[in-house]
Amino acid sequence: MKRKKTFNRRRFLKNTAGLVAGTIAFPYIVPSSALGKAGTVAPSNRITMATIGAGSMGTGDMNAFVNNDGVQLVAVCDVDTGHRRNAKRIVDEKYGNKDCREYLDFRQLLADEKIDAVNIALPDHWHGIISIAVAKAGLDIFGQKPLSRNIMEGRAICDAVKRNNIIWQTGSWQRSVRDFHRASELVRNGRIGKVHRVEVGLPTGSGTGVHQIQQVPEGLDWDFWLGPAPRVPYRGVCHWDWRWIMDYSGGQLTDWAGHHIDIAHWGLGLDYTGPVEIEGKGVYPDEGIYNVPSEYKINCKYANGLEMTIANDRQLPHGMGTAWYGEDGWIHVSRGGLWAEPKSVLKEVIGPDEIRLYKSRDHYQNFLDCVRTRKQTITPVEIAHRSISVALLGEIAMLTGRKIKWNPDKEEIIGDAEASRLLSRPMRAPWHL
Amino acid sequence: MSQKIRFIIIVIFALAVMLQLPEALQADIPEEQAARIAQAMPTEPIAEPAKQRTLLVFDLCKGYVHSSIPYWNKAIETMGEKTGAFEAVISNDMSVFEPQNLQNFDAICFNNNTEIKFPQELRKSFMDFIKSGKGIVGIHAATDSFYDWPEAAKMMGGQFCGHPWIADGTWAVKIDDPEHPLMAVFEGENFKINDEIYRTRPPLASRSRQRVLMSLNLSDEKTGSARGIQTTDKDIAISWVKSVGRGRLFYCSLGHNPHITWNRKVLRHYLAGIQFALGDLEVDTQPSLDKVLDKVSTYQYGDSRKALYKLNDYVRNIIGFEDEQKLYESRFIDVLKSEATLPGKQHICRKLRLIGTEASVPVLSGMLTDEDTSDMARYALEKIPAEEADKALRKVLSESEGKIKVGVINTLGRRRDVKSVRTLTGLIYDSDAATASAAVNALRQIADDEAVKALQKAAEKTTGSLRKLVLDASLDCAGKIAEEGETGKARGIYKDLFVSDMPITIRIGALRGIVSSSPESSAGFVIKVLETEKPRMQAAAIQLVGQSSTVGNLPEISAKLPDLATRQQIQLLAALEQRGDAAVLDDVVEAAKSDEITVQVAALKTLGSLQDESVVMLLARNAAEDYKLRDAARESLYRLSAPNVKRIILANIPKAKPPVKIELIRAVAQRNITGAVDAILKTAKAPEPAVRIESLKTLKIIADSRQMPEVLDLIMNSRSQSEMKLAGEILVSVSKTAPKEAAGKVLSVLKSVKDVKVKCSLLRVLGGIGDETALDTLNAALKDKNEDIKKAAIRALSGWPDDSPAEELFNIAAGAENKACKTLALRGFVRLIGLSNERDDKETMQLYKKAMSVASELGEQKRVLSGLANVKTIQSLRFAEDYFDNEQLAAAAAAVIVRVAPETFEKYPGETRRLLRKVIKVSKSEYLTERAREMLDEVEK
Repeated sequence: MKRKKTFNRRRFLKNTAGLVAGTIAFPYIVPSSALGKAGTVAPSNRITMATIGAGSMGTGDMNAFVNNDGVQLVAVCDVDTGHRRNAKRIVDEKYGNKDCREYLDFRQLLADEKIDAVNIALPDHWHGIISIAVAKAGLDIFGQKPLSRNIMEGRAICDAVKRNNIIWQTGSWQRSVRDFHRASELVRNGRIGKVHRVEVGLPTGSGTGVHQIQQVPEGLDWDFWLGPAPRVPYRGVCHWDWRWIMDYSGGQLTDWAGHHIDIAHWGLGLDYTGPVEIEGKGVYPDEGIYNVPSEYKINCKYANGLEMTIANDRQLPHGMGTAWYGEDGWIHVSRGGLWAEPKSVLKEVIGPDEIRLYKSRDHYQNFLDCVRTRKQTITPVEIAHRSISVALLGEIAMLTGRKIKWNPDKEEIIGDAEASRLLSRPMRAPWHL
Repeated sequence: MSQKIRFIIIVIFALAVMLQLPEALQADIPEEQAARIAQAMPTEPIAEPAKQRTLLVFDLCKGYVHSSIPYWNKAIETMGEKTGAFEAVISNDMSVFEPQNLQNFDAICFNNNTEIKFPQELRKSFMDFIKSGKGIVGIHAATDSFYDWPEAAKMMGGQFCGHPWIADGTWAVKIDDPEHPLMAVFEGENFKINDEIYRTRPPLASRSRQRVLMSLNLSDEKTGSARGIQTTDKDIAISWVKSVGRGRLFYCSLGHNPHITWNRKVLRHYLAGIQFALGDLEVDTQPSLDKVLDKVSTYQYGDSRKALYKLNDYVRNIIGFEDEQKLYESRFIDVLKSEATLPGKQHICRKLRLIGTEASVPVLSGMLTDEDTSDMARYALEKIPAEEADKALRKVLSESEGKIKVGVINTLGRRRDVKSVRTLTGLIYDSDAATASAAVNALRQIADDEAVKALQKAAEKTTGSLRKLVLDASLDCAGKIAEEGETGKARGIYKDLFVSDMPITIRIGALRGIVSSSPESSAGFVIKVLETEKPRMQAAAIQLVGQSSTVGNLPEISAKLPDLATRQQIQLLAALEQRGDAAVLDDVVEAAKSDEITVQVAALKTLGSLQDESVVMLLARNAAEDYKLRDAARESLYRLSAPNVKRIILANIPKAKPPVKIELIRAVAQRNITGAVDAILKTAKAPEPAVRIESLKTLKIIADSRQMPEVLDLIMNSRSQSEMKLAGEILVSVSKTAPKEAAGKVLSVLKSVKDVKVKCSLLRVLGGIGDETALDTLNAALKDKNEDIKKAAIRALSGWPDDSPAEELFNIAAGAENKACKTLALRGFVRLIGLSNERDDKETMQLYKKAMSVASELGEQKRVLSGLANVKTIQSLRFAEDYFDNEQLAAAAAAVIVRVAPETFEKYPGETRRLLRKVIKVSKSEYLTERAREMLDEVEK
């Protein structure tokens, strides 16, 4: 316990230092003035949207859309009345009316509303069911990362998105930020030579504390919130802190996989594949309701021999972010900077005949543009699936203590019946994918 | 036994020892070490012996002989003497195990015996000895024997199979059972120890068979990555106890290295273990797993979850050990059959999800029919790879209803149980809507012939939302059929689903299926959609054109552009952009002439990806002539990839009209065209100022050190201040690879320059180059009579790459009469001392104090303070504290404290805390007080 305390303190102090230095850039929100370039959009030409999941992340995304001239947000959906009311208030204030409709049940919303798109920001265990239902309704989706809570669910989401021809943007907004785009493009074009190793640093820590059974707060439909997850009584852990409980999420590892693993893949052109070997070790709590690992280290190998280490930042020399190591140097990118050795790499120009990565400088606008033009977004669903798959395989390796052999084409674990069982998760009735 | 007989036995043994033992064992240990052992030894027993106890210490080796054996003999002997807990008798003679001899002992201590073998005639009496209620103690290599005697190996609770944790290493140990009496001495504190640790593993070493007291902490980086470690090394027990019949066994892996024999804590651990084996210390020997399961069985939500997490660890560690998995499973089944709490059973089901087999099916299927346990039973059952599980589920399917039934249907679907297709087919028409939709979904997942047919039939017989589900399921099945290679069959289903009275979402899905399953006719199909369908369907078709390379014959499709509505034209152009096929060029060029500006923009964007050089000038003209098209045209001009783009751009620069020329010059920079320097050096002297400026900007990117003379010339002959500045910047940038040469060139020109502006500009350039050869000239310029030259020199030195001009700048800051020069110099001084260098913090602090002493204005003082935050020492904090009282500087001082505090906490916790509290008290910035409060909260937690 003693050790843990110091480490939390260190982590905190480090973060604080970062805050003061002004390096935190989250969430990434572009002022609406930067978006309205094309002038005001006539209401009839606006993309009509609804928000499903109106917690902090969902409301953040919703704000970006509400403040975009090209969008008309018409409805909000959440199983918590408080969240729902708050979201409606924001929308109504923006439009100066009382028109925003409220839904508790996403199925009702899909049945009643004639809309073009939704933004989804939910606890991970709900991503599969709702994303697939929305895709089947033919609506375009701005969906938060991580894509799914387990790999088969992610595959099912990809299939539904593809089959229903909808546009999908993942909330992996780092792709729409200059430093990340630049770093990936430099690596992709061989500016540090052949890359043999990449390190991905994600945050350390998890929730702590003992929680007693409590009365479910007024306005929260707890059974609905649990949905497909095993039935447990309410113990005061719900919004935001769900990410420290494995029934709903995988902790910092899965929360951040859609950012820095995503970028690692981008720089290496591995967007549509995955590792072939995965080993992992985690430090799991020995008490309390939160059960995700506070520290973790996952070593993967890709078919081309590339090695990837994903660990909480304390265990890596560069800390947070993505660091690629090549024959001729390294590049490290994180929120707050882009570094390289030799430094001259950062001055390199990528010519027109080289690989030019998809360029977007506004993640939300990119989604809306693609809804209109039917172009592929900068982070389509398959890419999101592949970045979270690495973390989910790491989670399986940690939970079974096994070295996992993975076939990224067939998406099968090779020769390990027990580990294979963790590729999907049984759901509480009546829910199913 | 009388003292006399005992004496005789001892004498006999002693003789035997002297006759047979190798010298190493016979030799006494050095006196000095014996003294250490004696000194470290406890002087009291852990428990009062019920009677006089005799412990046989057996040290025969047939394999490797540990050098620690004599140390342990000495240690155990001394332990008996000092504590009075027992008397030790040392022997290496197998005859000591003869029944008549054995009966003289209360317990046997195996001291590092390797590869000893018991003759058949001694085996029964030995096992009887322990089972009858006597004790066994094992030290370190005691698990390295009995290879020919499974029963004894099993009794020991483990067998040696390697030691990646070698004797030279120091390894992390975790206390697994802090409350156990044998562990009292460790007070629950994990520790590290230098010793060799034996690897033991299931089935012999197992938490299901013994009580593990401590084990290796494999999450410790070094311990977990020891050389030779295997992936199966997940749980390496170090000491354990167990009951054997009515007897007792204690084993501890520590003791390879002699120094362990004078480790106070380990000795007390051994003493407790020996007294337990002798029968004087009664302790709990319930196997670890059983103990944890007892706790899990009574678990209620809100209780401590320690036992659950322990069980998680145990299960993780036995995955891959098949027998052990089975053993665990049987215990789990017992819990499910017991009166255990529901939350406890839920946890067990989570574990069975991972390791359950057909053995668990009966108990789980019993739970399926109870609403309280049905979901948790399925949690395990869904994952059990056995036909029995399907059978059980099918049985419940016909007997249950409501939610239970729905859950069972879902699980059968997930398991793709073909044998339930018939029943599921019937359930499509169930009066309960949830049951019907679950059945449809299950059939969708099973997707065998029968299921597909059932769904097709159901499409005709259902209505409303259920029908939509059915159609959707059919679509999915068609996808699976196509994947399996039966494209003809799949296409048939798709065509049926595409007919016009189907819901639009189904038609869109079918459209994709048709297009991707018949590449050869896909273009024609897309064109038909474009000609006959409504916008939403057109958009879907266009999206497929963009994303699926199976849609061929793009020119036929692009020919339809003029016939489409604006929105669809834009979509189709975006699709063609994604495909990047030059064959559609003419249609896109035509679209670039559209009356609709949005279509024009989309067309120009598309041109950038078509890899056709013929559009270079078109793009340049559009960029030059219409600001609304500018961004799109430029972007395409810059990214266009085709063989002759460079040649076309360079050929047109001389002849193009100025606005287009400017676009081409920009493109040279953006495309990083290296062979273009000469051309751009020419345009840099063009009559039009805008062309000149664009050229200079481009040169900044493409020029290199070879162009130094020309660039210098551009500075000297600049026609405007801004061009001079730009040219200066170019020189600085090309100097990077040859700073000395660049400085030399500038210095030699500088001598003859009369024009003050040019002179100033060159001085600034010298500052930018930052080569030491220019320092004298710049220092001299500091004393120039002309204020402008003086300022230029101050600026140049302020930007120096290291702190070498710091002193000169300080002198000006302290002495100059001109206010502006003073301020400039101070600013430069603060910048230079803030650069990271070899100076120690103390000296740096002095420099900041110096700076503060000459900072006369508020702004200057603030600047000094904010620089101070670079020095992460307590001195900075103390220095900043002095400015708290100054109302105007308090905020800057508080910022220093908040920024530096994280670094001073370790060494100066008290003072740092005090200053943070002061920040909270004094600072008016909510941000700073909030940060300070957070830091305090965190450390005080």
